[in-house]
Amino acid sequence: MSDQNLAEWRKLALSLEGEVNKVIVGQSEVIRLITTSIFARGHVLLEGDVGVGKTTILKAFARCIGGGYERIEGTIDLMPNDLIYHTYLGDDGKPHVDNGPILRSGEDLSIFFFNEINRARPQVHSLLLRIMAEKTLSAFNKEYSFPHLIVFADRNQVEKEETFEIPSAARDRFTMEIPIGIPTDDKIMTDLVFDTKFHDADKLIEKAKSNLLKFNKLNQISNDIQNNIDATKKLETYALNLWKASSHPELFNIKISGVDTGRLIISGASPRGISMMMKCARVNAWFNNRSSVLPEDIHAIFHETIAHRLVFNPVYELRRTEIARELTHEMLNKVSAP
Amino acid sequence: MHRFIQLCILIFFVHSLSAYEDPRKYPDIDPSFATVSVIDPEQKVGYTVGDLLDRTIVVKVKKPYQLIEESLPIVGYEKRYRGQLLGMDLNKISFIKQDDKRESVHTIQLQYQIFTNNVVAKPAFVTADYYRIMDPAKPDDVFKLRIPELTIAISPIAIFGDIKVENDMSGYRGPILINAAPYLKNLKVAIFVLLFSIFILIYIYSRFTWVPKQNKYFSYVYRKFKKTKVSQDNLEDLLKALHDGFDKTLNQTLFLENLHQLYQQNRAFKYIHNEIEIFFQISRGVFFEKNKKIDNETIYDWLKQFALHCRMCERKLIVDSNDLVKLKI
Repeated sequence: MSDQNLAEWRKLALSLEGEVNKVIVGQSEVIRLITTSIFARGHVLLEGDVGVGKTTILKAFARCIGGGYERIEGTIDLMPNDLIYHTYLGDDGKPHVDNGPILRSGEDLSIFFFNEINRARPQVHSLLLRIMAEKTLSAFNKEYSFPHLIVFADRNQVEKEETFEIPSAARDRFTMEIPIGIPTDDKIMTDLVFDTKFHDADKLIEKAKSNLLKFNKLNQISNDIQNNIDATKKLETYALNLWKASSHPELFNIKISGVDTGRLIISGASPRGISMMMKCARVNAWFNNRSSVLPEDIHAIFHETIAHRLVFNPVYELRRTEIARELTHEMLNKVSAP
Repeated sequence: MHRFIQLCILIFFVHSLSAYEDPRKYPDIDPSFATVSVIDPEQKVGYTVGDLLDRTIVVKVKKPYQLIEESLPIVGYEKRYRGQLLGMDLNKISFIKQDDKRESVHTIQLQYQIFTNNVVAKPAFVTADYYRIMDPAKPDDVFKLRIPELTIAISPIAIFGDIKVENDMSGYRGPILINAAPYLKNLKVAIFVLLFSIFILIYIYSRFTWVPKQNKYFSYVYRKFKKTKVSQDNLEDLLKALHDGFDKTLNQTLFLENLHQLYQQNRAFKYIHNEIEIFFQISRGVFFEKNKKIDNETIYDWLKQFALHCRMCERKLIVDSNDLVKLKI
């Protein structure tokens, strides 16, 4: 694909951002990160408190991207089968089997939205792992493929009862885990409370342009971005050092108050994690109309692409959110570039 | 006429002679009419060139006699002994006269200054003076009053003559002490200046951290690279060294995103903000952008200048905005 096409797609990507920003206020950074992930063809896990707009953001993106959109709610009694099919008695009094949310749109499935993913059982997580990693599914003696699929999931970290911690293997399949919080700007907060347009989320989402992107072209444009944006040897060295720091922060003199950094990490970022980080960095460079990746491009997505992949010593697991934020911040502070 | 001029010259000459006439030819005054007491300096030895010697003479003259004030010694008059200069001049004289019905008391303060010295000890003295006394009612009857001589020595090493050092070093009189007051005053001023200087140095040390061994990263960079010539390796090394300098200054890696932290730490860097941005553009071009075409020579010179500016900022000196060099990348 030519540079001109990349430039045109860049405009589209920016207008996608603009559309979602019209619907969701005060979350421009989150929206930029999700857009980055979409163009890096990575799955997104949104993490935040209740009622901050996680679902609304994801639904707005789904509307703009187009293609098949399916959604399921995570509950404790949800079983893997519920994703694949559901059975019911038809009007004719006979039992019927219909495709579940995963299969309903077939190959056109572009977004699968898993709400409250941590309420689902590990069996469900396992099924999701395969779909996310391989984008295929075997059912009814047939192999289904979902080449355009991106999984959006969300979870809240406040409630722990009747929830199942997402295993590290499942977390690693998400390109980004994006924390989302309540906007802090008074004007935006006032609008959210008193502007009635924000009270009906479904109506609000309808204001975003639908099918703005050609969802079935996204894989191609993503490949083109990865092939056209360069990374120099120096940047490779920098990324490599960041990777090493994710496993052995103590070697880079990274210190966190109240934490023994030598014992903090059981497992650092995976090779898949670092390659996803670089994919997102390239997309970020493309967004900024550059032909090469800069350290700043890595910084822009570093915490969101790396923090959720780190496996902490159980002693520190309860303070994960706080420690992970400080750790990634310190990694960027201490690893020098070039 | 000619004779008249000769007569005038003769009269003037005779009159002049009478003014320098020897006072010793007059008879001594009856001691019941005049007494003299002299207060001489306690120090008798150790005088040398420039020293001052004070003498107080009190003359009491009973009425009707009076002291002829013209007979007092004259300032600047050089004392002689047997026709030889003594090397001692009258430097100052003050005269106080107290009169009552019975007598008049004259207190005469004399100050002599020594103008002689020798490699060996040498006696010296203020010769005896003769003051004249007369009765105003009988101007022809003039009497003399002898003021005793003062004998001293101008060398403290050895004494010839009638003054002995051992006699002069009386335990009752105590040692001759140098006046310590001016020296103590000088000492106090010196201590004050010293403390003030230390205070200023501490101030400089705390405010301008260019004191040796304090934050001298950029001075090291500038010193190392200022005489080097451009090459790709040197350019990369210089950029790395500058990055390293910033990282060490901030104690963390500096990027454009956290420049504000650098400015918070050292405000002087804010004045070269534009140059820092250019530096990052160069760094990107050299290290991270494959297709960037760069004029190495121009950039290398600019970077050396930039290192100098960073060194100034490191020392918390403000770089003159006129010295900032713009560069198009």
